[in-house]
Amino acid sequence: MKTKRKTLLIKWFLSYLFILVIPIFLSIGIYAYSLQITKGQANKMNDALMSSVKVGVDNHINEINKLFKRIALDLDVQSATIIKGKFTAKEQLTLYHLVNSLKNLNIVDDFIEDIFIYFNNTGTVSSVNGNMSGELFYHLYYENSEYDFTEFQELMKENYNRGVIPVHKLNGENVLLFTMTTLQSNFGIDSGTIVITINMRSLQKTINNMKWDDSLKIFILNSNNEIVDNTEDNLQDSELEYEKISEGDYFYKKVNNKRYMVSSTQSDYINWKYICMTPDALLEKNAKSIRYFSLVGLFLCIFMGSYFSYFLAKSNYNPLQGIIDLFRKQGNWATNTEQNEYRWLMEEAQHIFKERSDTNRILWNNSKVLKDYYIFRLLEYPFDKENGPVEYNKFNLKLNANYNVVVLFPIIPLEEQKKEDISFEESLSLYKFVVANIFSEIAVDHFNVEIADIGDMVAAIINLPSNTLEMVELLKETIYNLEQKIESFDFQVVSAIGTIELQLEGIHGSYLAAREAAEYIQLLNTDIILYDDIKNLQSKYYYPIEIEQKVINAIKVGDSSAAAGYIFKVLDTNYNENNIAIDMRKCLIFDMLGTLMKGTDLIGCGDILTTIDITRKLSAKLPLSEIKDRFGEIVNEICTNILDKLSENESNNQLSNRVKEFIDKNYQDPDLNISLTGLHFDITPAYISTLFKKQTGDSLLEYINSVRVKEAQKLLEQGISVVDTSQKVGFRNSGAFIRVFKKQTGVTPGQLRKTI
Amino acid sequence: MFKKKLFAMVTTAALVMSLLAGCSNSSTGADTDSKDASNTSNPTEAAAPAAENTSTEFTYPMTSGKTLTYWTGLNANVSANYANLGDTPFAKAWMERTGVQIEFQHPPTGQDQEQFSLLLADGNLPDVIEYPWMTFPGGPEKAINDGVIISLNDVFEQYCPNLMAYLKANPEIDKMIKTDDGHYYVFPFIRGDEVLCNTIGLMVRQDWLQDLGLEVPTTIDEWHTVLTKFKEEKGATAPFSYEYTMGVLTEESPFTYAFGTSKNFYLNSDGTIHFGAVEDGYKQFLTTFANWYKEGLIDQDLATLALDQVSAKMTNGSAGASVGWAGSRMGVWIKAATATDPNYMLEAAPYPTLNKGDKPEFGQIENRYSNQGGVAITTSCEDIEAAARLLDYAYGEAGHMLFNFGIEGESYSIVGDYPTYTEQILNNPEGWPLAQSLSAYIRGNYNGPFVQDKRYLEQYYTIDSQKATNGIWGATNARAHKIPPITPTSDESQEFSSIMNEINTYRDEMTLKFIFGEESLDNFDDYVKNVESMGLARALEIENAALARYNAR
Repeated sequence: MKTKRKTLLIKWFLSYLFILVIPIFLSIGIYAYSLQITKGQANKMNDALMSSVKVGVDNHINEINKLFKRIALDLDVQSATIIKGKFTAKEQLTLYHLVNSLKNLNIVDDFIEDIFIYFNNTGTVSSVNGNMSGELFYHLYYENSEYDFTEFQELMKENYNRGVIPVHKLNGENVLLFTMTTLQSNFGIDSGTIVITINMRSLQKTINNMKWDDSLKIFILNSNNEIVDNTEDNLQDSELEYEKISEGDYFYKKVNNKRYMVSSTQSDYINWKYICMTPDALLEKNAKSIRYFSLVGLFLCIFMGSYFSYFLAKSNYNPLQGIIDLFRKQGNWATNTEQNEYRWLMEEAQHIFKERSDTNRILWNNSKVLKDYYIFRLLEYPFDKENGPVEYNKFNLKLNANYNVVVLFPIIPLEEQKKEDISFEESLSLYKFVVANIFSEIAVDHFNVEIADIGDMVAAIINLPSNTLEMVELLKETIYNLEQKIESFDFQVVSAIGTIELQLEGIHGSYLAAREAAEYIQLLNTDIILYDDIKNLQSKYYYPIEIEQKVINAIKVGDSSAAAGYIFKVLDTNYNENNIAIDMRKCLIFDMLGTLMKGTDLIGCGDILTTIDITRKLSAKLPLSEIKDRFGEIVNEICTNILDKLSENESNNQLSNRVKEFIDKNYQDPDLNISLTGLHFDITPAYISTLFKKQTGDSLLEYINSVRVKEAQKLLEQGISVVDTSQKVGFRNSGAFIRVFKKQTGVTPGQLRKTI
Repeated sequence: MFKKKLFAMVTTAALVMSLLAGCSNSSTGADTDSKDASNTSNPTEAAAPAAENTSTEFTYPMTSGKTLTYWTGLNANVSANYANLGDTPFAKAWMERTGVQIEFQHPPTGQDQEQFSLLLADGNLPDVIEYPWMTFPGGPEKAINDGVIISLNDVFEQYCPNLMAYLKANPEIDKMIKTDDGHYYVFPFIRGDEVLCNTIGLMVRQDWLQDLGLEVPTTIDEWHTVLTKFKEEKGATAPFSYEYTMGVLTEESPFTYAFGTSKNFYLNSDGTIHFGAVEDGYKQFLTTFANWYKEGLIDQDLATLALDQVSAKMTNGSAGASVGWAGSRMGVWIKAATATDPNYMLEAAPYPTLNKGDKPEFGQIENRYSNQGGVAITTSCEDIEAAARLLDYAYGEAGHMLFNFGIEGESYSIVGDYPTYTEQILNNPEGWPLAQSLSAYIRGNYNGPFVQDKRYLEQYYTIDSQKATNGIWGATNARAHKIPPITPTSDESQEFSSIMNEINTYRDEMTLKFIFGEESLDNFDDYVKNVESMGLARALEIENAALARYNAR
C-alpha cells in the first residue's frame, strides 16, 4: 500500500518539480549571459586599455626614434665619431656643445632618463651627465652584474639598427637601453652608438596609470620572448611566445595557478607586443554577484518549489487516498503493486459493479424462489392473519378477487416413458415448467393465477371473482384446454381441483381439498377430478355415482364380471375398510340392487328382476362373502338375460361405432377431442375414452389422430401442402401435425410429399 | 637640485646676536608713514624691549583659530619623507605655538618658477608666499606696485616687535631688506653670522700632499707644482677637477679670484661695479688655465663636468683637488673615500694669491640677506595680523630656537647653555641622512623666514677639515667686493637681463674656447670688444645706478 501510494504521489511530486526546471534553466541562462556580457565588457575595457597602452608607450618609442634621428644627424656627433684615439683639446668644445644639445633633448621628454653616445674610436662617452671615459661612465651610471665593463663595451661596439638592452643596475634600477649605431661615416666605420635610456619605472608608471584594476598584469614582450619590463618576477620569459600571440586574440593561460585572459597588441614602432593579462577572478568579479543571486534564487526556487510541489501533490493526493481507503475497507484489496492507484481503483470498481450485478441476479432468482416458497406456504399452511397480508404484499401476488381455488397438476408419465424412469425424472422440471407456462398463458384470459411447484406437481392458485357454476365451468373448460394442449407433449397431466374458498385464508383449505382430490387420480382414472365430486366418497358410505354408472354401463353391455367386480369393490370398501353399520349396509345393498334395476331398465329388461327374488336372497345380516355370492348370482342372471336380449339387437348399435361415426364426420374440426366427443354422447371424456378403448382396443385420441393422418395422407397425395393439410385435417398447428404424422406413419408429411 | 644642496650647506660663523623676547607693540594706533619705519632703526647692539606697552600684552598662541595659506617650494630633504611641510614636527610645533593653522601649498619639485608665474597669472593668491622676491621680474618694488604683495612697513610696526627689534639692532640688514623706496616687502632669511656666508672654497688631497712632502698650496705657482706632482706622482688623470657645469662654483672660481677679478660683476675698490670677464686679470686667468689644461693638470672633460663625475674622480684618485662646499662636497667625499682608503683626507686650501703671503682680496662670500626663503604677505591675505604674528614669531627667541634647533627634548637638548642636537637627529633611527632628519625638525639647515644660527653649522660640520674651512676660506677681503642686494628698476632689469644673457653666453663660450686653446688668447681684445659691443656699458650703468640707490637708502 505504501509503495503504491508513493508511486503516484512521487509521480505528481516529480511532475510539479519538473516545472522547476524552467526557472533553473532560465537562471543558468541569465547567469551565462551576464557572465558573457561582463566578460565582453572586460574585453572592451582591455581593448581600450591596450590601445591606450600602445599609444602611450608607442609615443615614447616614437619620440625615442625621432631623437635617434636628430642625434645621428647632429653635426657634432658626426664629427666626433670619426675621431680616433683620443679627443684633443680642440674637440672638447664640440663635445661640450654635444652635451649641451643632449641636455636640451633630454628636457623634451621626461620619460627619457639618459641619453648618451658611445664613441667606439675613443672609448669615451658623451652624455647628459657630461663627457667622460666609457669606463667611468659605466661605473657611475650603468654598473650591473650582467655585463662587466668590457662586456658593456662590446655591447656598445655592436652594430645596431634598433636594439633594446635591458640593464639591471647594481643600485636596483632597471633600465632599458635603446641603442642605435650612428650613421655610417664617410669612412664606412660604425664608430658610435647612440643610447637612449628609459627607466623601467617610468615605463611601468606609464602603463600602470592606465590600468583599470590593480590585478591586471600588463607587460611588454619582445621578439625574443623576453618580458621587457619584467619586474614582477613571477612571470617567466618563456611562458609566452611572441610569434604565437597575435593582435586582437583572446586566450586563457594559467600562471601560478591563476587563470588569466591574455590579450595583446603590437607596437607600431618596435618589435614589442603589449600583453595584458586579466585575472579570471576579476572578470568574474562582476558576474559573481549575479551568480550569487542566481544561486540563491535557484536554491530558493528548489527549496520552496519542492515544498510547494510536495504540498500540492499531497493535497491533490489526499482525496484520492480517501477514495482508496474507502475501497480498501471493502476488503477486496488486490495485491498488484505494479499498478498505480487509478488503475487499481478502476479494477476495484469493476469488481464491485460485477459483484452488484451478480447479487442482483441472485436476488432476482431468490425472489422467484421466495415467491414460490411463499405460494407453497400459502398452500401448505393456514394463512397467518397477522403477518400474512404484509408478506402477501411483498410478493406482489395477483390474488385480489374474493375467491380462490387451488388446482394441482400432477405430471403423469406416459406408458412407454415409465420404462425409462430416469429420463422422466430429468424431464420433470421441464414438464412442470411447460405446464405452468401453458396454464398461466391460457388462464390469464379469465383469471388471475399464481403458480408454484410442489413435488411432481404444479400447483395453481386461481383467483375467481365469484363462486358460481359458470366460473367452475369456465375453470374446467380452461383445464380441458390445457390438457388438450399437453396432449401434443409426450407426457400426461391430470388436474385436481380443490374447493372454492373465500379470500387468502381459504387457499390452504382449497389446497388440502385439491390434494385429496389428487388422491383419487389413480382410483378414478379420469383427467379432471373435482373435489366436490369426491367429497362424498369421503364419508364412510362409499358408493360413488361414477361406480354406479360403471356398474350400469357394465350391465348394459352384459358384462357380468365387470359389473360384479365394481360391486365387489364397493362392498369390500364399505365392509372391510369402512365397516359401515348394518343400516348403511342395508342401504348399500338396496342402492346396489337399485343400480342393477336401473341398468336392466335402461336396456328394457326390467322384467328380469321380477323373476328373481332379490330381497329374499339378500339380507344385510348376511356375511360379506354370501352377499358377494348373492350379488354375483344376481348379476350373472341379469347379464345372461341382457346378453340374450343384446344379441338380439345388433352389435352395430355399439357405442364405439357411433363414436367412430362421429369422429369420421367431425375430424376436420380442430376442436374435436375427447372432451367434445364425451359431450356429444353425454358421457364424461374419461369414461368415453376408456369405453372406446375397451370396445375397439384403440385409445380414442389415437383413433382421432389416425383418422386425421389417413385423411392427411390422402390430401398430401393430392399434392396439398403440409400446412394446408394440417389445417384441413383439424390440427391447430403444423408442428403437432408433423409430430403426430411421423409417429403414426414413420415419416414426416414433407417426406411423404416428396416420395409422391 | 644643486640649489637645494647649496642652501642646506651653510658656512659657520659666530653668531653675535642677542634675541630679545620682545613682546609686543600692539599699538593699534595711527598709521605711521611707512617711510618713517627705516628711520626708527638705531644701530645698537641690543634692542631694548619696547618700553611702553600701551595696551594688553600680546601672547602666543593666538586663540582665534586662524587658518592661513602658505605657498612654498618643498625642500628635497623634507619631501623625501613628508608630502607636506605641515606634516613635519617642525610645522606642527610652529602652528601649535602660534595658534595659527597653516595650510601649506607646494609646487611640484623643480617647478617653483613656473608655478609661481601661474600663481601670479591666476591672481588667486595664497595668504603668504615664500619666494626669492628679489628675482621677481622688476624687483620687489614692482611686486608691491602690481598689487601682488603688500608693503610691510606698517605691519612690522604694528605686529612684528621681534623682527623690528632685530632690524634695529642690525641696521645693515635692515638696509638690505628694503626696496630703494624704503618699503619692507618680506620676512627675510638672514644669515645670523658672517661665517654662515662663506661656504665654498678649494680643497686638496691632504694625504697626497703629505706623501709628496708638499705644503698646502697658496699661490698659483704652488698650485701648478702641486697639480703637476699629483699628475706625475699620484697618477691623477684629472688633478684638478670640479663641477664646471655648476654655475655658482664656476663663478666663485678661486683661480679667477687669484688674478684680482671675477667672472662676473664685482664691487671694485673704487666703489663702482665692474665686469670682471673683460679685465686683464681674466685674460691672465685664462692664460694660466689654458696652459694647465694643455698640461693635463685640469680635467680634460672640464666643460661638461658635473657632480657625479667629479665625486667619482675625487674619491677614486683621478683627481686631487677641487672646489666646493665644506658640507656637501668635502664632508661627503671624505666619508665616501675613507671607506676604502683610511688615509684619504681632504683639507681646505686658502683662496690662492699671486704672491705668497698676500691676503686674498677676493673670495666667495654671500650677503647675510641672500634673497632666499623670504616670505611676503600677499594682497589676498585678509588677516594680516595673524600672518604677521605668525611670521614674526620666528624672530623671537622661542621661534629662533624652533627654526634652528627644533623642539627641545626631541630634536635638541641644552647641554651647558649650548643647544645640542639629540642622537635621534644625528643618528636617525630610520636611517635618514642628517640633512633629512634635521629638515623634519628645523629650517636652519636650509632657509626660511628666520635668522640662521651658526650653532647649527657648528654641529653640522663633523670632520675637523670641515670645521677648519671657516678660518681658511673666510680669510679674504671678499666682503669688500661683494655687491649688496641691489634692486634695479623694472625697466632696467629687463634691459639688463637681455644684455647680460647675450654677454654671458658669449663669455662662457669664449672662456671654454680660450681654455681649450680653440681660440688664441691673442684674440682676447677682440673678445672684449665684442662684449662691450653687446652693451656692457649700459649694463654697468644700470648696476651702478642701482648701487647708488642702495647706498642712498
